[in-house]
Amino acid sequence: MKKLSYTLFAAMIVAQLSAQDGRNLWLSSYSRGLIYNDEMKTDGVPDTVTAARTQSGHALVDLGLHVQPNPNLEVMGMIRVRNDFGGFWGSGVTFDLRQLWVRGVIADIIRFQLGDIDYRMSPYTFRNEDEWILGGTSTVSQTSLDMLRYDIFQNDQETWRQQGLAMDFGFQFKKVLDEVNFSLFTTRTNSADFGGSDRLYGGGMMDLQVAKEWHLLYHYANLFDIPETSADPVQLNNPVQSIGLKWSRSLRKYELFANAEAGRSRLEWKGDEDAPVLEGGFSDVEAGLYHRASRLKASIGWRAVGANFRSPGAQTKRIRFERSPNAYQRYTNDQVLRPFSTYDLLRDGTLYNTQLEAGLMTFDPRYGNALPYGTATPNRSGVNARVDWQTEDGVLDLGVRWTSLDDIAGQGTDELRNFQLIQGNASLHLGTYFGWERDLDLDLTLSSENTTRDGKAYEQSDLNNQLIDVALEWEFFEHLSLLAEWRSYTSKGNDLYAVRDLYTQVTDFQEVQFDGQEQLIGGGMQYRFNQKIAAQLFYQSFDWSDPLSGYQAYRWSNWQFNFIMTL
Amino acid sequence: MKGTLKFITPFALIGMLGCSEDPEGPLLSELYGEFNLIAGLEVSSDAVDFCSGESVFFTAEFSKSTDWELRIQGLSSGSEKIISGKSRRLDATNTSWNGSTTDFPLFRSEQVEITLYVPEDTLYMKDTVSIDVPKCDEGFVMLDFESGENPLWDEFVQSGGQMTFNVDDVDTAAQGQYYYDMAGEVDWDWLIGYLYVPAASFSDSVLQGGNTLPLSGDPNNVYVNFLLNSPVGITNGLLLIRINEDEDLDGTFNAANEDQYSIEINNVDPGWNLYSFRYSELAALFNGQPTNAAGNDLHEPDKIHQVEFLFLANPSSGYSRLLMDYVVFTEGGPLNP
Repeated sequence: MKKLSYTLFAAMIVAQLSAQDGRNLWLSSYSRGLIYNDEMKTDGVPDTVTAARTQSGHALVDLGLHVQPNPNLEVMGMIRVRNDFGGFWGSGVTFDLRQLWVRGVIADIIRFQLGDIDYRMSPYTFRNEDEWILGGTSTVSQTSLDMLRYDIFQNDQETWRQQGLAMDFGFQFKKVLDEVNFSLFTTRTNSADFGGSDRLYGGGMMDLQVAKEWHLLYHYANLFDIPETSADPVQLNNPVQSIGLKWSRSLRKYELFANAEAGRSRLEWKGDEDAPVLEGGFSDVEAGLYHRASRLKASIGWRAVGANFRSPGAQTKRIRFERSPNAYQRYTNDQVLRPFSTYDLLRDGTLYNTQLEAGLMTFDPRYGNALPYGTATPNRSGVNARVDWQTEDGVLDLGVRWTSLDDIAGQGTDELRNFQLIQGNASLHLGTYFGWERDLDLDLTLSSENTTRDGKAYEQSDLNNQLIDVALEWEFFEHLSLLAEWRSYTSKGNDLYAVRDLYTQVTDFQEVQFDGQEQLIGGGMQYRFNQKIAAQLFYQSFDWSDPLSGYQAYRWSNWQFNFIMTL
Repeated sequence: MKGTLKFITPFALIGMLGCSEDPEGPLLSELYGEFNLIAGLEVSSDAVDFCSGESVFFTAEFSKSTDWELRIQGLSSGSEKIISGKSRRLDATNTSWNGSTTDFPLFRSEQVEITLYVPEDTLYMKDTVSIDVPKCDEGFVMLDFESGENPLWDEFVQSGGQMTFNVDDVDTAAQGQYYYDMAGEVDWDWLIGYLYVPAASFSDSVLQGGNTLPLSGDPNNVYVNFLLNSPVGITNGLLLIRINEDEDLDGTFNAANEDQYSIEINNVDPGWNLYSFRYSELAALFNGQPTNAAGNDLHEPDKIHQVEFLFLANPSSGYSRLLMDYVVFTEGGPLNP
C-alpha cells in the first residue's frame, strides 16, 4: 500500500518532468466522486422490513501510466484506486489493475496491440450494439449511465473489450486494386481455470479497395474451445463469415452510398452426439443519399437473418436480464426479489455483460422484443429506413428510424409476428435560435416498438413498448446549467416468449403479459469547470408499477452529487 | 434499377441459403389449442407375464399436449399403479408398465382395470388387461408368509392380553395373500413378542451348502427391504430388527464377539409402507443408541446367520399391533416393487 503510494507519487513527478523536457512518459486519468441518497417507498401495504433510506458513495481515480520507450512502441498500465465512503481513507480502499496493453508498429508495416483491446467488425460478426431502451437519456440520467459504461468499457463505437492480440496491416497497389487492408485478432473469453475448456474468439477482416468507390469486405470470426484444456469432452465451435460490398460516390449535389453484406454461421458442439449442428445465414442491403443543400440524409435497407444464424460476437447482449439489481434487491414485507427497471439499468453496472456468450442469452420482451440481439437478431426479415435532417442555422436536428420486420420461421405456428420499431428524436437549440451566447436546448425522444401476431386466440400477440423522453438544459449563468428530464417507459400487452435449451433451440413457450409503467422525473444543476470537469447536483424520482406482475409498485427517489474529471 | 438489382441479388441469395421456414419449437396448437380426443385408450396386450420380462403399454392421442393420468388398479388385490405425464400422445415411451406398483399391495395374477383421466376435459376412458404372472422381484425373498409358519422359526409371545403372533390373511397382504400379524398388550415389559428367522430355516438348495443367507459380501450393494402396516389409530408399536452375523462361520452367533446390526422402526403409517436400508448403513444399537459392534465391525451380508424381528411397545401405552410382509434382500438397489 505504502509502496504503491510512493510509486504513484513518483509517477506523477516523472509525468511533470516529462512535460518539461519532452521525455516519452505521461499520465492519463479519470476521476470521480459521488454521493447518493436513495429512498424507496412501496405503494399500498407499507414495507416495514426493507431499510427505506440508503446512503452510498465513493471516490475513485483511474491513473494510466503511458511509457513510450521508442517511437514505435507504447505501454500503458492503468490502476484504479477506489474508496467507498463509510470507512476512512486506507480502510475499504481497493486497488485494481484496470487496463494493461502494449501497442506499436513492427517494421513500419504491422500495427499491433497486445493485452486489452477494443475491437469490432460488422453488425453481424462482431459488434457490441446498444439497447434502444437506453436511448435519449438527458444529462440527468446519462451521467450515471456514462459512469457505468466507462467502468465496463462500453462505448458509442460499439466495441467489445477483449483481452488478446490485434494487428492491422495493408498493401497499396498501382494497378487494378488501390489497396488491401487486413485486420486480425485473437482473444480469450474463457479460462479453463473456471470450468469448461479454454475458449478463444478469433478472426479478422479484409478490406479490398477498388477504384476508390468500391470496397470488397470479408469478415471471419470464430468462437471455439481448445480441446484437451479440460476434462470436458465437448468443444464448442461457432464460425461466422461474411462478404460485404461498400460503394459511395460524391456528386455535386449529392453523396450516394450503398452497402451490402451476406454471410453464414455454423454452430456445433463437437463430441456431443445429441447436439444439433445449426447453420444459418443473413443478407443485408442498404442504399441512401445525402443532399448537401438541405443537409438531409436518407437511407433504406432490407435484411433477412435466418432462424439458425448464431454469431456470438454480434448477438451477445449488453444486459444480463437474468440478474437482480443491487440496490433494494429485496423489497416488500415478503422480501421478494425486485424485478429490475430502466432506472436500475441507468445505475447498476452489475446488470451488464462484459464477456461474449455462446448461443442466445435470455432477454426480457418488456425491454426490447423486435431486436433483442441487435441487428443480427435471428429469425427476422424486413425493411428499415432512416432520415436525418438538420436546419441550416443549426437550430433543429431531427432523426427518424423505422424498422419493420417479420419472423422468418413462425414460433410454434405458421402465423408470423410483425415487429414495428419507430425511433424519433428532435433537438431544438433555442439558445442558437434566439442568438444567445449560452445554450438552451430542448430534446425529445420517442421510441415505439410493436409486436403483433394474428391467428387463433392462443396465437395472438400484441405487445407495445414505448419510450418518451423530454429533456431541457439551460445554461442560465456562465458554465452553470439548469437541467430537467421527464422520461416515461411503458410496456403493455402480451406475447409468447420462446424458451430455448442449451443448444439454443426452442423447446417451449412462456406466456408473458405486461402492464408496466415506469416514470422518471429529474432535475438539477450542473457547473462545468471546462469540457472535461463538471460538478452536478441532481434529484430524481422514479415510479414503477405493473399490476399484472404481482409485484408491489414503488417510488424510488434519489439525491446525488457528482464530481467528474477526465484528463 | 438493373444495377441495384445486380448489387442486391447475390447478397440476398448467399445469406438466405438454407433458411428454414418451418415453425420453431412445439406447435402452439398442441400447447394451447382446443382439446379433442383423436384416438381412444388401447392396451398393447390383453394378457401379460411380467415375471418373464414382458411389459405392457397404453396408447391414446389428443389434439394438443395435455396433462393425463393412467390409474391401473388390481381388481383382486386392490393394488394401484399411477403413471402420469404431459404429452399429445401416449405410447410405449411414456406409458410402459412392467408390473410395478405405486400403492401397495403388490399386483397378483389378476385382472386389472386401466383408467385414463384427462383433467382438462374431465375425460375418463377404461380398459382392462390380465396379469398372467405378476412381477418377480430379483433378490432373496426371506419372508413372504405364503407358505405359513416354518417350524424352524423361533417365535416367542408374552402372556399378555389379546396376543396375536401368526400368519394371517384377514386383511389385505402387501404381497400375495398372507402377512405376519403381531399384536398384543403387555403392561410389564416393552417386549410383546418376537420372531427369529435363522438361515438354517431355509433349505440347503437355497443356502447352497452354507449356513448363512445367500447374499454377496458387498455391504454397499445389499439392501434390506420389508413392508409394514400399522392399523389406523395405533401408533405405539416399535419394530426392532436385529441381524446377526456369523463371522467365524462356525454355525452359531456369539453376541460377545460377533457383529449384530439393528434397525428400529416406529411411527409406521396406516397402510402398507416400504422400508429399504443399505446394509452398509446399518448401525449396531444398544438400547436404541448407536454403539460399537461387538465383532470385527465389518458389514458382511454374506455372513448373516439369523434375522430377528422384535415387536415392542411402551408397557403403559396399551394395546399395539403391526403387520409385516415381504422381507426381501436385494442387490444393486432397493426393492422397486
